[in-house]
Amino acid sequence: MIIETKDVSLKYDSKEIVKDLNITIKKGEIVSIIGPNGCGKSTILKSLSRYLKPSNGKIFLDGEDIQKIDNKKAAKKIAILPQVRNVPNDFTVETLVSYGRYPHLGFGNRLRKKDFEIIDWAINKTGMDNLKTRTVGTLSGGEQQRAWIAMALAQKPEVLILDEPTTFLDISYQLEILELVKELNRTLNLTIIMVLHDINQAIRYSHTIYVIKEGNVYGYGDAKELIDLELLKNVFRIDADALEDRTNGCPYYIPQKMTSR
Amino acid sequence: MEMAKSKTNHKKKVIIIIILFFVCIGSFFVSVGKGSLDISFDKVIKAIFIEKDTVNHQIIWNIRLPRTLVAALVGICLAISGAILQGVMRNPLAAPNIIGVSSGAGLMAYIILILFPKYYYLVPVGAFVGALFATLLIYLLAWRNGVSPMRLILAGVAVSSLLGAGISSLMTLFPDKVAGAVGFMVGGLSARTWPDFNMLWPYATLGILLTFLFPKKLNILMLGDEIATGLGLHVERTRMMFIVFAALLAASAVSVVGLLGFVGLIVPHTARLIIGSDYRYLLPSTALLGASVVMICDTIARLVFDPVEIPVGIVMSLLGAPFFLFLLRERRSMER
Repeated sequence: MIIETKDVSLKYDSKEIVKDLNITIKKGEIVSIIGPNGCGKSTILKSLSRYLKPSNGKIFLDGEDIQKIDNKKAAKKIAILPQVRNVPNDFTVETLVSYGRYPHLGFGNRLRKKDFEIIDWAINKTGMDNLKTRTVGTLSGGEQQRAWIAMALAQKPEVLILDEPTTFLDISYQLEILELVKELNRTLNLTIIMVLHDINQAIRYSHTIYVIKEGNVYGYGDAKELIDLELLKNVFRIDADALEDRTNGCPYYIPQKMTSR
Repeated sequence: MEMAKSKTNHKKKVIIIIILFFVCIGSFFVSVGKGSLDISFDKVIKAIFIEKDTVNHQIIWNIRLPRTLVAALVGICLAISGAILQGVMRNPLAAPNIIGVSSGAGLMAYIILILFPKYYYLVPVGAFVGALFATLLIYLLAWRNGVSPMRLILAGVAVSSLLGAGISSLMTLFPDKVAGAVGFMVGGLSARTWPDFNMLWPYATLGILLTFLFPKKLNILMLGDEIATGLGLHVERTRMMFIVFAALLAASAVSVVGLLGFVGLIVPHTARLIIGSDYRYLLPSTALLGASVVMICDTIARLVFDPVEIPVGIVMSLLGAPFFLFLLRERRSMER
């Protein structure tokens, strides 16, 4: 296991969002976190990436308390792409990706030959070679997302955390990003933790799914087996039909209507 | 080929910085040479470095040179302060007055000039302290498990208007004494000389050092708090450090020349349009442009109604405001 939370509670100001959370993430897995709006999914990601400090409990990364690890050292192991981010439109893809090297730089923050090689590798890995001198403002949504993933890869992390990586993208870019994530997981043995809204995509692309309801784990397990009609009714308040996606060998749910409250 | 392209990009920006450097040097000679008595370029050099007892030397060494240098340093300090704040707040309209520097310095200066006119010589020190105190107050008010740029801006607006109310009450209660204090409000370089220069240069040096030491941290801070944390930056600590730097730079400038607010807003913006948002290039460009703009505006302020001088703050606002509006329109059409 690479990440483990022990009785973690998370608060914004005095409002408790997550209480006594216990999850374990195994190395090399793709883990999706799903749940209704406001259940605390993004909050959980924020704590795993050290942005939000637990009000109670501890988070361990490779057995070490995540709050006690030096910032730069942690940044070499975990990379995060949150929903809220910002890049000046005139930065080139290359410049953006180069920031991924920040935690690895010594005094003076100068990039060395090895850093440039890793930046090129990350750009290549995300298929951005012919876009690298373009400014970020001129890229499409899907291309921007890949540029950010390249930046995260340049950190050379063991864990990549993605908060709703497919939101705002059209369906072909959604597939492209998820295929890229799968490929990175397979070729680099990169552990992926992501929040997804599309339940079917979560089932198809992850090994393990955590279902969060009202700030705690409702259930977790093998992505292909965990979700059933009962769970969809209890957590998402929908009645659904179950089909089988034979191409990908996993179940496929079609939401039909909201259950009465 | 792609690699070559990013190299040309770098080269282009370095060339722009070199051009700005020469613009700055040019502005310096215009500022020192022009006045009631025009002194040509070669005579300026002679007067500074060779002659000792000539009239030219007297005029330049005792009057124009210190004033021009103060103008340049003020420009550097305010412009870099603005550039830093725009990055730290991720807000293109952030400027030194958003962290209370202007209102804090203004209130203190007014208190001294109106209530204790005997101690007029304490105005620079008082303004400096007032500026830093206002920044501190805003920072504390915005604090809540850390400081978010948005809360900081809102707290800044609130505190500034509160301190502004203080200034207004003083003006209403002591209308007869206002005249002597107005000069500080508009900002002017009249009769600034070596002691003013000595007060400024340490801060300007700090500003210049910053441009070489931390541009990357500013770039990363611009990407957003979560990303920056994820990259291993101590966001809260770094932001506070930059706000302190920005406050010191702006406070030092404001305490010497009064409320010359516009430089901190317009110059970094203009530099950004010329060279882009990457702080590695933006900070040096901002410094050079800030120095040039204040030197030139001050020269204009001295010359247009010669022998009567108008405060440089007025020149700057008259030229700066329309220019700024023009830039905003341009930018909007660019973003479309």
